[in-house]
Amino acid sequence: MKKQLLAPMMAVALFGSSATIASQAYSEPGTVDIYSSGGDFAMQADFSVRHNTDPEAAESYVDLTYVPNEYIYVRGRNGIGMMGSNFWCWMYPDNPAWEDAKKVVLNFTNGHTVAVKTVGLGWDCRSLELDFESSRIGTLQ
Amino acid sequence: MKKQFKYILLSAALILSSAVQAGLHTPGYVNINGSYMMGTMNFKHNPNIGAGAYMRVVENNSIIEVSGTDGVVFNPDGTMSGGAFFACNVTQSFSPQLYADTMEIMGALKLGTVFYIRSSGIAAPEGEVAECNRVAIISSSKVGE
Repeated sequence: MKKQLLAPMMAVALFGSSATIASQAYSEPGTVDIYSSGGDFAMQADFSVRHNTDPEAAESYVDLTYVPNEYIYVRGRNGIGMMGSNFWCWMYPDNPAWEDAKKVVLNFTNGHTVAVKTVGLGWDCRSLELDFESSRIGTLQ
Repeated sequence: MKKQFKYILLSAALILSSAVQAGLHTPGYVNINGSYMMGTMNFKHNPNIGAGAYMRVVENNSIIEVSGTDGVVFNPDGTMSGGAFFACNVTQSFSPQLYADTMEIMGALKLGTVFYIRSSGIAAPEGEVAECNRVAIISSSKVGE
């Protein structure tokens, strides 16, 4: 009788551990990358960066602010303390990318990555795009 | 054997708690400062937020009613603080553009987003509650759950 009970219990335990392994296999830590690209500043940032448990990513974040008819403000940071860099840019309604950028801000959520570029090395946003939507990111590491 | 299992459980619990603490999680909040209210949609998860705190945004017969309070905090010295109340309306006939913008932002509110609303202090001709005159939303990775 005890043996009979043990078998299903073992099966449940094995199923549980394989599910855990599977979820780990498809998890990626969110990141924020800030770099120069063809003379522009650029940032690629995962909403899920807050789940990144790497101590070097502890202060990394991305914020997208939308004030209707006034501005969109993008800011982010990668890394911690002196090791981190800051990014920010402003977009105004006269930018041809305004409508697309607005949709990005309103839809940005866990699992999304945002890509933003400035005009030259200034702080005007040239474009703001939702880069991709992936089930592989956004899981607690 | 039992001891080993205990240690495994203990170390698993430690790993889990450190995973939750890592990254950039910040507690939710509601701030009311006279003419504006600003808060994160996850403030209910913050055990230190004032009692009874809430934010409410609802469309009712072409009027968007916004209200909220930052809740009452019972201080260790026996005094109370907080408890500020905020309310304003966005009336479609009075501010059609702001009405459309606020409706759009309402649809985008989700756990963790920051909602900002400001009041003009002036009521629409047909109303008693002051009209809102500015609205904003922040999609932020900095908020926790």
